[in-house]
Amino acid sequence: MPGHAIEITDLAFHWPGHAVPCLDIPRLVVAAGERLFLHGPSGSGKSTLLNLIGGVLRPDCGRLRVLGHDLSALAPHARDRWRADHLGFIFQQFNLLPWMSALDNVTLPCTFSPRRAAEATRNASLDDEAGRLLTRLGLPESHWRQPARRLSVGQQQRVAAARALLGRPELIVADEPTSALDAELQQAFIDLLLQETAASGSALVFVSHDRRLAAHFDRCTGMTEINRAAAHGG
Amino acid sequence: MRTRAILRIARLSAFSRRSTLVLTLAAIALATALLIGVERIRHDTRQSFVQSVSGVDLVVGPRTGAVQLMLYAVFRTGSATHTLRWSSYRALADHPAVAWAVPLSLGDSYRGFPVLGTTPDYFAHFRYGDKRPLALRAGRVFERPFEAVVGSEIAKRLGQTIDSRLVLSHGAGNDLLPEHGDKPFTVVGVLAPTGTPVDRTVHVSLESITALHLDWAGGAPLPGVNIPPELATKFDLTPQEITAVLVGLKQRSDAFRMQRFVNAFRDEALMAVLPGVALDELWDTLDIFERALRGISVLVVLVSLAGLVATLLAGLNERRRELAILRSLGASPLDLFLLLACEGLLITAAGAAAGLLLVTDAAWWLHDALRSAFGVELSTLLPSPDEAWLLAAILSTGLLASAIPAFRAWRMALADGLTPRQ
Amino acid sequence: MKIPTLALLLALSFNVHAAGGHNHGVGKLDVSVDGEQLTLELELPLDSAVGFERTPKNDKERAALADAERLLKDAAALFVPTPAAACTIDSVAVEMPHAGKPSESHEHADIDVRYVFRCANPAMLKSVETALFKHFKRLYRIEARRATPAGQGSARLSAKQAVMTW
Repeated sequence: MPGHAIEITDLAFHWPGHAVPCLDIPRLVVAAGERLFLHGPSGSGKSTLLNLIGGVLRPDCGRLRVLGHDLSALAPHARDRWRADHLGFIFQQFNLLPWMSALDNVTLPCTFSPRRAAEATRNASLDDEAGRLLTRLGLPESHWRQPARRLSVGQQQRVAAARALLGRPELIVADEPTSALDAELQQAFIDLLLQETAASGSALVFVSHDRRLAAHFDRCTGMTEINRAAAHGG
Repeated sequence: MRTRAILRIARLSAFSRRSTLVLTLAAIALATALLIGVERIRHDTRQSFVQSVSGVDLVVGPRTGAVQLMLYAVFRTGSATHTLRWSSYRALADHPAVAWAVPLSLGDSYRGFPVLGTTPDYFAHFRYGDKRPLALRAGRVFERPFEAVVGSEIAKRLGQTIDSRLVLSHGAGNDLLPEHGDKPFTVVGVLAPTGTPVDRTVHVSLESITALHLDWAGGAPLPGVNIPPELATKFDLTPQEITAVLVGLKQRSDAFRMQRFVNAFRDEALMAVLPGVALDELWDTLDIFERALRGISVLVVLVSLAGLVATLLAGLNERRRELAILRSLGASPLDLFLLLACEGLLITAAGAAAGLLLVTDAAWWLHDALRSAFGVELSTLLPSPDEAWLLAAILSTGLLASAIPAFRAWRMALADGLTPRQ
Repeated sequence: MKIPTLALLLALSFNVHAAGGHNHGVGKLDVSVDGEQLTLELELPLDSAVGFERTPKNDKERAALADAERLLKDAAALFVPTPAAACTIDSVAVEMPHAGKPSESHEHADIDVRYVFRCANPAMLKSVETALFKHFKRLYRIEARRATPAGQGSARLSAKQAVMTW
């Protein structure tokens, strides 16, 4: 992968109808394969930044390159396609379609991304690869075919992680993935995540308000440090 | 592949919410059943009426009404209140344009089934369906008084076979009618099924009808007079009057001229009906009624689809999370639009299929009742091309209606991005 | 469905046949097919044909009558049976009212025309189209009846629906 996972220069964004900008980021670079811990209180623009990185929102001005691509140059459907191919997301909670089995949830990205499907099935069948990831993330095989809603929150987050990792997307974005977990599970989950992103060579942007979790990351930075709009008092 | 995946997600998602969707589905099923049912009754009524009169060029009777004449002469429902003279029948039968003329005498019944007095010619000339002649399944045509040929349904329902005995009732209808108990009939023939009112008719000779009523006057037995059957056959049994005549012409093109001839008949007031023309005119007049009925069923379908839209819209808020997850996985707003549209279509299709099943089932159950009441044969088979067209209309309307929640999902996807505001 | 249907049937039993009278602007057409012979019997209200019903009073009215008669004799211009049936006109008999009785005054008057076609391929004969509405603007409806090998039927023809099919 040439260049950086994320490269932001003089990026500004404000929600329509709001006079004050939500994001004003002079510079942010995440190297390929780098694991960044990004902390900040709620309202500091974390979610907006993730939507920009995901190509769902477009910056007002400035440069946003993700994996070397200028997302704002792409048409909306191309950005959706690009997101499916290159990004894995893990959210705080309710990551799964509750009426689908754990295994089906993991393989879901492949319905939208032939590229990830091809990557995931390079060495094994799709279900085997999904199973392999679930095993590594510690979900017992007896749970694989159960509807996602029957799993505990911790198990659900593991399934979500497996889904984000399937097909080795170059960038994984995790938005408060541990905030719904018990304290002792939090660190274990983060360790697993770091280990697996390292194994797949993906960059990781991990967003959390809890700085105590930052210990094992390559780098730690705060929203208030990179976002001038937040620093001014948003 | 992507569309198939979306269809699969739609199916699983709808199935997971089946408890709320089942009512919507039931409403669509009932509405479909109503629409198809109305259409089927309309179609089959026409079909069975048309099937019952093939091969008859003219129906002649006393001057009443065209439809009334048709009802009793062909469909054996309603009552023959007037009669025509035997001499008029002879004049008609002897007319050079007439190939055959079969006299009909109605009025008696057997356990609610109509009794038809006629001549053996009836079996030679009567045609049904695609000009098919009547066939005997067993026995022979009546030759003497007090012999009867029964239709297939009577034979089946009342267990009549050759040599069974029948006691006819005077008049048509219930069990309280005066009976011709002194002059029982013997079944000599059983007809093969036709799917027309013939199946429900007891056929006897005209002479039998006359003989039955020798000792009757004014609809009741003459007190103190009792002519036993052996003696009855000694009388001149040529009827004085009959209720209708079925006429076949040598030349079809004479039908209109012959009708004018009968309508202007000098000796008594008669009327001639071209059965096919009369039916067409009848359908034409019933058209408004049918359209109203169809309009109502269409409205019911629309209401059920409005229910579908409401249900999908109401469920959408709870599914914001689901849509955001799909979005994060790379689903475009258009994909989510398709997802909802597919879901609506799936529910509509399932409802329509259930409705079709329902109406087929209902037809199966109502079959006998409709046949007894109107002589209407309901088809219980596959949907006709007309019905297929209606089903397609329901499906496309369902799809169109689903565009409303689908559009909403599309808007939601754009507004929410990856993080739904909850 | 039972009660309304029966009630309607009975109510109609008096109406259906009452359509027999003379009605301005409404013609009658009886179509029959026997073997290769197609017979059309037309009853056209005189008023629909020429715009008046009385005995012609002047040259103009006499000319109108003559025009109408000439037009009605042109079977090929007025009726088109299914082309595939290859029907050709065999005979036309026009019966004008007032003919031979010029002084008598009628309340209503009809022109009766009988057309006989011969069809080389009668099995293909499935329809008759009429151009009557184009030529007689005062005619707005034809009550048509048919008796063909396919059965009997009736249809209401108009300028918009000028074809009877079976």
